[in-house]
Amino acid sequence: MAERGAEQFEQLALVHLDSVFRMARRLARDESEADDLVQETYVRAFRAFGKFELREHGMKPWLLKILHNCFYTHRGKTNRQPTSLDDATIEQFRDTGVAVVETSAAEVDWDAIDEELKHAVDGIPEDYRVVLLLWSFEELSYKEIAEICDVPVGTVMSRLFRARRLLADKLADFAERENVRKKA
Amino acid sequence: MDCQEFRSKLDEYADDAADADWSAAAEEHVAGCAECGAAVAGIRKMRAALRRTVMSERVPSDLADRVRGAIRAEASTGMPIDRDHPPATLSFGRWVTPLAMAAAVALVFVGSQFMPQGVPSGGPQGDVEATWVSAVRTVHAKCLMSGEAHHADGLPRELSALRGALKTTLALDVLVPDLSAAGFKLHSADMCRIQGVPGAHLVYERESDEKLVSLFTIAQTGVFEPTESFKLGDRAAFVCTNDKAPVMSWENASSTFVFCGEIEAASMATLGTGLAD
Repeated sequence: MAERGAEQFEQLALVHLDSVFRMARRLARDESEADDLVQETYVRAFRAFGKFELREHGMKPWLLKILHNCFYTHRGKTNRQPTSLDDATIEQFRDTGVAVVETSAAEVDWDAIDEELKHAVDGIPEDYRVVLLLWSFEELSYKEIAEICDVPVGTVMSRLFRARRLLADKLADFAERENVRKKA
Repeated sequence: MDCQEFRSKLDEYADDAADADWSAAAEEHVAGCAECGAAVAGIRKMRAALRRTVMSERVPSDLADRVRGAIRAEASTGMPIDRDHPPATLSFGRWVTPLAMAAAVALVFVGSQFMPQGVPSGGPQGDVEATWVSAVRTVHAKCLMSGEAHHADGLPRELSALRGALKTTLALDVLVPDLSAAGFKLHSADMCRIQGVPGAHLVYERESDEKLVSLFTIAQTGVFEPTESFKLGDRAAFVCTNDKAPVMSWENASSTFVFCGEIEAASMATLGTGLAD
């Protein structure tokens, strides 16, 4: 099969640039790292373009999967094993210093905390943050997230469950302090 | 359905991921239970707030151009472009050599003449930045698998003269080792950019069996941070094999050198003992 060209790749892939960058920005430490991740993602995607099969949901999940891989490669986690937190008990969470509280998402006024929310997301462990972002920002299904992260659907659900609670936990103090906790 | 049963699949329900029958029953429950309804709304509002927050991120106005430039650079040279270091203005011509594909892919040394001195079989393992290894290997593979090697126009083919020319041309203190003791002669030399960092790419060929090895000289130090290393003369070096084939790396004060070939790690290390900065 003749190799598809840069023009065709750009036509299909660059429309998702904003999504890829925004996802990278929330994964990376700063804009510069996000920028590097985006460029590396697109170069890698271009190299693999000949093998890419355009399916009904388009190219974005594929680009996000490459971004995900680039991100972990940058962090030196290419051969990482599934995080022990996946199967952790509540006690193990506490042992690792990750507090678990049962703060419900229903108790926070989500309309009033955008900036604090950004900081809170940045403070969530990477494996959880990735799933949380794919779930919220990209509105992907559990199955699509599982394919991107290369983990079972059950792990996605587990990580998402905990990520939501970690996020709510991080925002609980802020909500209380700023009086943006939802009135009962 | 009671609250306990509903809460068992609250997340799936809120994400429209629960099966249809269960969801139908859940709808009835939520309609009559304000607390569970609020829980669902909370999750959905969290999702919307996260989306809103991420969408508010400013995308650099020149990002598309830079990404497009990186793609075009990859398309034309097979190497990513560095946004901080524009491509050199040098024009490198190319010549195509009719390397047999079989020779290009069959690069495994056989025999014992390259067995290492004091280096464990397989070479020491280092935990390296896989992106660099991957980039080096990609460049290497392109040169080998395409059956195409290139030698920059005007660059001499005599080793010492080549070193001087590269130093002048690329402003790099480039290592141009003599591997003739192992039967390798210089095959080609060109500019090299690995992940945007400028350097030189030298390919050596051994005519007797058409084996090839590549040496990348990258104008940057600290590329690899080996957790294990061994001495290569007075240099710390390491061989990693985490990408199925060995890459050997070492540094001097200004550059990182990467020796790459689909040969045994031990043979790679032994070849490296013949190098001199």
